[in-house]
Amino acid sequence: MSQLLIPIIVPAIAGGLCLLIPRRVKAVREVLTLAGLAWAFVAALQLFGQWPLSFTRDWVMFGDMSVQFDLVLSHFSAFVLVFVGFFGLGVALYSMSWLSKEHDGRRYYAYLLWTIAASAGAVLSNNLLLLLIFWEALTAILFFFVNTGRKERDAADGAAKSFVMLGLSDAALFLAIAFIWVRFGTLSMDQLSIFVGDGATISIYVLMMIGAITKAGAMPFHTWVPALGKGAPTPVMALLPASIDKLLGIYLLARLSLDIFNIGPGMQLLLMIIGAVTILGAVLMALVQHDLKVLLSYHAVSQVGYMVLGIGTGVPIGIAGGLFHMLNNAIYKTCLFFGAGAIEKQTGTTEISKLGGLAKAMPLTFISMAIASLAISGVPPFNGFVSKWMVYSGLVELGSRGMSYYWIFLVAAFFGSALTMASFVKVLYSGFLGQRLSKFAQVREARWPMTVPMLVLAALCIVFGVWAKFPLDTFINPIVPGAAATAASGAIDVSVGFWNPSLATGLIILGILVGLGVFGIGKLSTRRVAHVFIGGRKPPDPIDSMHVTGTGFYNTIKETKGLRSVFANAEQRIFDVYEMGGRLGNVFVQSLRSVHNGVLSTYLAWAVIGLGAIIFALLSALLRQLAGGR
Amino acid sequence: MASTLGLVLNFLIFPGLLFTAIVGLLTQWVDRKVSARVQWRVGPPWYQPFADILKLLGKEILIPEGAGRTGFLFAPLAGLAAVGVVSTMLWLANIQGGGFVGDLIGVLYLLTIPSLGMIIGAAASGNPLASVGASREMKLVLAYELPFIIAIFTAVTKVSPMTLRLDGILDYQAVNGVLLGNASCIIAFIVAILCAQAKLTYPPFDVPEADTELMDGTHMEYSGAALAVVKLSQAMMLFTLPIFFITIFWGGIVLTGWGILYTIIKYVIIVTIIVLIKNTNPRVRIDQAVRFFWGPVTVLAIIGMVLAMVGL
Repeated sequence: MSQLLIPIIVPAIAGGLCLLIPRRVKAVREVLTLAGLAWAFVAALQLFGQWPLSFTRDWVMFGDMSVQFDLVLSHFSAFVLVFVGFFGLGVALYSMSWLSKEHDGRRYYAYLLWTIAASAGAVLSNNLLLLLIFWEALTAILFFFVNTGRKERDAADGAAKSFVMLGLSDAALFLAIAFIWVRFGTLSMDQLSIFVGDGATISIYVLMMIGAITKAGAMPFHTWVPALGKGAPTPVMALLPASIDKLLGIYLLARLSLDIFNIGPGMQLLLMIIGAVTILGAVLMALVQHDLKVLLSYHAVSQVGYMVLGIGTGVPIGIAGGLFHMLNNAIYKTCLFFGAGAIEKQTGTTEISKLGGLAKAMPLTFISMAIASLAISGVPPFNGFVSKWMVYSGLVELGSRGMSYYWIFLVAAFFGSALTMASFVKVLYSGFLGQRLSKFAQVREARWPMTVPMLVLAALCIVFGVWAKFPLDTFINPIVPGAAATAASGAIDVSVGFWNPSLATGLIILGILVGLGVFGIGKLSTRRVAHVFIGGRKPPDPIDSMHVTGTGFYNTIKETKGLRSVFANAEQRIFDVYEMGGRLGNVFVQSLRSVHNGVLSTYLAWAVIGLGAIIFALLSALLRQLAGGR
Repeated sequence: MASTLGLVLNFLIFPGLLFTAIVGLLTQWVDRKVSARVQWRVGPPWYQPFADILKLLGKEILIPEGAGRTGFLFAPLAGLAAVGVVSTMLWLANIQGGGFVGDLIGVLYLLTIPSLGMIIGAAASGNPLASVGASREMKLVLAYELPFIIAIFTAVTKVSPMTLRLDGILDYQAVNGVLLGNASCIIAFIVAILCAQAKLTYPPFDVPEADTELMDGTHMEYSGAALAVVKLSQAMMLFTLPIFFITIFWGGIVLTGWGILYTIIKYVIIVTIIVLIKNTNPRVRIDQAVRFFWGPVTVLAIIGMVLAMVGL
């Protein structure tokens, strides 16, 4: 058996076995899942570096054209494969603790394994039809996977919505693939090189792009992500919309825009507009959410904007930044969802208004979520800063090449970053900081299967930020033509800018040490614990009544003139393609339906009118015939 | 290795933490003296800010009950360190040229860390009034950040070839004259000064601290050495922001011959503008501040940017 098949077949078989194992023996199922995913991950690691590797079998024949079962390992697909395996393993470990005792996890683990198998297949396939099949399989698995959620109603709603939206985008992909077949006669990705110029190629590209960005969750096809956030099991959110869907969607978008199609400035501009709108629109929505998981879902959308924007620049540093952001986002967003899941598990809620002061009770969750929050906000020296910095540099380079309105995208991305920071200040404040509520007195830290994956991911946020040269040189730069412009000293040196993350970090740490020295002079040992000062009065005990919830943190922003109507429209779901499509369909159906009022005379009237119309048509035809005959 | 050691010394002594702190405190004295003169008072002697810090270092640190201690004590330190790094970056770009982390985006992000540190620290204190202050400070950051970015990138747009390197911007100005000579950059400079007022949380944008309303809001629970660190980073910020504007818009720092005097004059002019705005305007509400920055100031910044696009 070819090595290439292991990451696909092993999890697929393990998933089947999971369903066969009797309900009671949960432990065996957990071990099987972990073993299957660990095997897939190790296989992916072994494959890394072995490109080019391929596996080809004749598959189906259509007339004189054969479609081949064609897997190819390239640097890019090997890199994505490694991280698909990595996140799968992390989520499996996390799920061991997340699933409650009553939940046997039979279907849950099977879907988890199949998700990894299908993702590995999608990444490796070199044939567009094969890719489409794995892609569709993922959509279907997601639907069932989400339905294992506990809040049944919300989970089912979200599952249905994402199934419809992803299904439609898959249909777009299918249509594009059919067009490619008809026009170019091949479906092998490495043989295709399509110049996007005329109407046909533009529509093929746009259709395929819709397939890719819907999976990634970019606007305007994003609404399935927050809908899932309401009810889906948290590890599913961490696995699919947060990490694997990003990896796959952006992988496809990058393959399309860099290899398969030769896109011009027009399409690049389209991508950049989608990116900038996604960043700002989604983060504004995130700012005013009341539920932690929905808030994180909107950020899962917003961050896609940076990746699409980066790829849209068409400048090596920008593309590399977009792809690096894809990796970084998967890391910190998974960590954040894990944290939200830990909070949910330990306190029973993710509603922001009901949380508060958990930092002392759950220190490890707090630390990892704080690091991930700083990373997603782009605070140096964490990983999110480096990839955002690269995207900005790409935009400035576009500007220096004469695109005078580059700054609109730059400001959108930059300001989106500030809004992200604000949103995560709200998360950290409402979840962990502030006064500890008395109802949480008994809350303890989550168990190790939950905390270990979180801490590992948080550590990666630091490592990929401080030693950014390592992931860039190993994973990113070799797959972007012309992006290997890094200097030797660990700094990232491009034509428009220069950033040395290790050095900056060193200095910041040094500065903090100096500050600690100042504390030392001030005799930190003479510190004393006192009541909070609220104007001289003794604070009530418990202090719950004085708790400031994070819910209304940004009401000022929400009520600012100009934004007020935007938020009101968003609450009416004006920007939701799914909802608007539904409404349009509804208008059509309702207008037909209003005709059916059940009154006999109305139906008779319709019948008479119809009869009249037929007679009129027949008569006029007859008359015309007569006139023509004469 | 020698260069690393040199850099560490640069960061710790000159032009980093120590130097920035000293000049920042001296600037704070100028601020207090000018404010006093505006209000027909005599004002403190020059060493007053130093004495204040020294006094605070000798006091005990009070930690509020139920506070997240690590966050409460640690967050202000991150702010202090970040201002120190920015100051080092700016000075080294001016006096040595490149070679260091001299990048504009790094500066812009690092300059938000003191505010972020203050917000996290205040939120960790567990004081409800400090929480309100933290919420306001974050909204204020959002408010000024939009025009501030546009203003700074107006300068980048004017530089050709466009660059994010501080030394690149300085080199361009050395050859082609200061950016402040352009209409677009004059507008951007005005916008940046207005934003600096909010970055320093000086009146009329002292909404997060609002001493008559929130009793110092974000700073409320800090005492002793921790308060000293907070005050020190504020003083350093007061020194760093004008230097940043001089670097970006006004030809940078020159430490030879008449350049020294010229640099000091530039610095004093910017500080005086900030102090005068501070003393002549009453505090606004947070929603007014947000509307002010997102409304007229952003429009002004965009006008500046459009002028830069057409080459003015």
